[in-house]
Formats: sequence, C-alpha cells, structure tokens
Amino acid sequence: MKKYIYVLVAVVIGAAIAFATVQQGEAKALNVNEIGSDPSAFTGTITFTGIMGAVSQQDPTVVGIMDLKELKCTTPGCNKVYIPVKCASAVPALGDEVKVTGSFMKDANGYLFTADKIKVVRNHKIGG
Amino acid sequence: MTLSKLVFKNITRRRGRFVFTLLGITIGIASFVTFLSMGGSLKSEINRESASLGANLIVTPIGSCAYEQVSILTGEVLPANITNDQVAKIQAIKGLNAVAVLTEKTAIANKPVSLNGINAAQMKAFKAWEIEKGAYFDGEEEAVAVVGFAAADLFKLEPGSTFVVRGEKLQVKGILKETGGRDDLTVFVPMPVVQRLFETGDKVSYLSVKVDNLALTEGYIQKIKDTVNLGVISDKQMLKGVLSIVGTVNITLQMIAAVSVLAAAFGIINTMMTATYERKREIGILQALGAKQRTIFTIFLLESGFYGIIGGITGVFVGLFVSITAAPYITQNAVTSFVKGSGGGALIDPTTVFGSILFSTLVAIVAGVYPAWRAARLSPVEAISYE
Repeated sequence: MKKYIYVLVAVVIGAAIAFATVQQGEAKALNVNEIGSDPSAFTGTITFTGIMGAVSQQDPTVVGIMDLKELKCTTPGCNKVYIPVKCASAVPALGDEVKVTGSFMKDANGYLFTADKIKVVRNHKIGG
Repeated sequence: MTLSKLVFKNITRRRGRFVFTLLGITIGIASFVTFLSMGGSLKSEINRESASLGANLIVTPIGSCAYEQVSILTGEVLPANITNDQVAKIQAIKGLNAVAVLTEKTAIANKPVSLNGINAAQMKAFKAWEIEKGAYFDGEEEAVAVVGFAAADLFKLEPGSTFVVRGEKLQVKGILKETGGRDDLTVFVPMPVVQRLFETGDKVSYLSVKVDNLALTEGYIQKIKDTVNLGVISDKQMLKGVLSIVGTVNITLQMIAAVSVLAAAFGIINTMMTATYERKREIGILQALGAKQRTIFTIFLLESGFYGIIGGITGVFVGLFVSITAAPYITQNAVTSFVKGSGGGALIDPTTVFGSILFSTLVAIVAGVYPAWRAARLSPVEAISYE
C-alpha cells in the first residue's frame, strides 16, 4: 500500500513539474500593445488577449480589441490602440476580456485580424 | 531518550494528523512566499530599470498617467505626441542634456520586441553605450538597426542579419555591449526612419533629460513647463509613483496570504490541543519521573515549532515553484498587466526564503504557546490518573 502511495506522490509531483515546464513557454499570450504597432511582423496563427472595446458601424461582426492596460488608464492622454477582429462565431460583449486565436489579413484599409477562435475569459463592465 | 527525539517521535506518531497539519502551514507559507517573491521581483526590476534609464527628468505629453510612466520603464508603446519643435526648445534650455525617444513595437519571428527611434549621436553620448559587435550608426538617416545585447542573443542576430519592420527590411549594423537594463532588449533605429515607418510625422514619445545641477532640478522642471506645454516628472517622482502602484497590489496580495497563514496557525493550535488531551498519561509519567513544568512546556512548544520549520521549508519550495509557474499568468491579469515586460528578474531572494521559514517557525511557536501552557499546568494526579 505504502509503495503505491509513494508512486502516486511521485507521479503527481512529476506531472506538476511537467505542466509547469510546458506552460512556461505557452503562458505568455501576446497583448494588443505588442502587436498593434506592427501587425505585418506577425505571420501565421497567433493568440492575443485584450478587451472588447468597440464594434464596427459598417460590419457588426468586426470588433475592436484594446489592451488590458486601458482598463487602468483613464486619463485623456492614454494610447488606445484597437485591433480590428473579424469574428467567425459569436461576437463578444463590450468589456469582455478575450483570448483570440487567428491571423492577420491585409485588405485595402490595413490589417484585419481574422479570428478562428475567441475565448471569453471574463467581463469587466466598461462603459456603464 | 533526548528531548529532540521525544519531540520527533511524538509528532510523527500520528502520521495522518502530522501530514494534514503540515499541509495547512505549507499552503499558508507557500501563498505568502508566492506573493512576496513576485512582489519583490517586480520592485527590484522597477528599481533596476529606473536606474538604467539614466535620466533625472522625463518629459511626457500632458495628462500621462502613472500607468504610462510605467511603460517608459517596461518598454511599452507610448503615444507619440511631442513634436520635434518642442524637442528642440527643450534641448535649447541651458543646463540640460535632453534626448528624444520614439517607442514602438515590432516582432522578429513572431516574438514582440521594443523598437526605439533615437537621435543616434545624442543617444550614444547620453547613455555612454559601447559596441560589442559591428558598428554604430554613421548618420541619422541610415535605415539600419543597432540591437541590444540580450535582443541579439534572443533573436540570433549578428551584424549583417536582416529583419522586417512595417514591411521594410532593416539590416543589423551593430550590437551594443550589455547594459543591464531595458536597452539590452531593445532594437534602436534612427529617429527619422522610425517616424517614417510608423507614420508618426515629426513626433516623439518622450524625452530623457539629464540636468547639470541636481540642486536646481525643480527650477529646470518649471523652465521646461514654461517653455513647452508638456508634463515633466523627476526620476524619483516616477519611481515613487510606479512603486506605489506595485505596493498597493502587493499589500492586497500579502493580506490574503496572511489570512492563510493565520488559518494554518489555528490548525496547529487545534493539533497541539488534541495532543495535550491525548497525552495526559504521558505527561503524568514525565512528571512522575521528575520532569518540571518548564520541560513539559518546552516539549510541546518544540513540537509546535517543528511544524513551523518543516512547514516553512516545504512552503518556501512550493511557493517559489508556484511563483515561477504563475508569474506569466499574473502579469497578464488586468490589475498587474502594466508591469508586463518587466519580469524575468531573479525570483529567489534569500531574505524571502529565510525570512519566510523564520516567520513560519515564529507563527507555529506562538500558536503552540497556549496548548503547551495547558499541558504544563496539568497536576500530576490529574495527568497520571487519565485513562
């Protein structure tokens, strides 16, 4: 019995270390301020986090994702950069903190991020 | 049997209880260490970045908040609102050495990297940079890059390597010697080239200013404000502002951790009280053998302290492990995202390690005082007659 307990403890510790090692590399998703200045530098599928802060007037499936930092910065001088994201599935609500996976596409107006997957992490209740 | 052997045997006699009590203190100390080490790492990182900025004053657009001031330290993108004309006016003020910086971001192999537009000659003199490999800029219009030491290592860049910024290929001309600050992770490109690539016109993000006479700093701040309508902050004010934000977050987290340590302390009291009741007969025998009240008190207090030492050691290990694992998640949180990019400092601080073990031991000893006192106060008759 004791042997099994020792084996179980060793397996749990090993799994925790393995999980931590794997997650170390994956955990740092990009944020809006990191990709907003030069979207052309990001190729292929990427994942970034941000807050849903605006919806396009022309196309309701295109939303603007701003940086998490903007929640804390309320002065007029704050640099609000929005990444236009084309949602293939459900459109997130205003204030939703989202993790978006997809890729940048270039069109006549600039770069548009086409989302393959949008995961809503939580809502931050912005704009009343 | 020596006192230490007796204490060890008593504690490990009931293994299940020992393990669960130990788990309580381990979890408490682990959360305490996690928050403490992460907070400490952030603070030291901010101090280091502030020192490596090498400026006495920072000129920013009016209305910049503390979170944007943090961005100066962490290399995040800042709005480009200061014109070249305003830069020239500040540079014309006697007693000041001012250099302009335009902060942008690009990516190499899908990994973000800070890109700063600088006035090449001015910045080299201001920062006293030295070249590790290759050469420095020849002029202000050269569309090439000089890369910080750590960035060159991270992206495997050598003089002659190329990378693309906003669709334009830039060649690496040189690699800077290690500075120990944010510059190591930054790519530098002449200001006019960055302004053209990022379409910022003639605007820059902020100015770093060195003053000739530190005693006149307040006077210089007023002079800059009078000359151009911009915000000016001293390095000390900026550091204070940034540390106060970090401090508020830290205090909240430490309060949460303190509650878990307190809960663990009550776990120890509970365990030791049970032990006191269970071992009345043993206490009686010890008294019959001539053990003084002080000896019995010491035995129970040592048992309690033992929980603290072992729990402290395991808690520190677990806490450091969690802080290393959780650090990337915490810097992605809305509350602490402003410090993203400032991580990577050493998380293992000897003061935190030994301080936490000492704290755990002290908490356990304090928690053991009442049960030990109860055990020591038992009368020999009451103790020996216990069945």
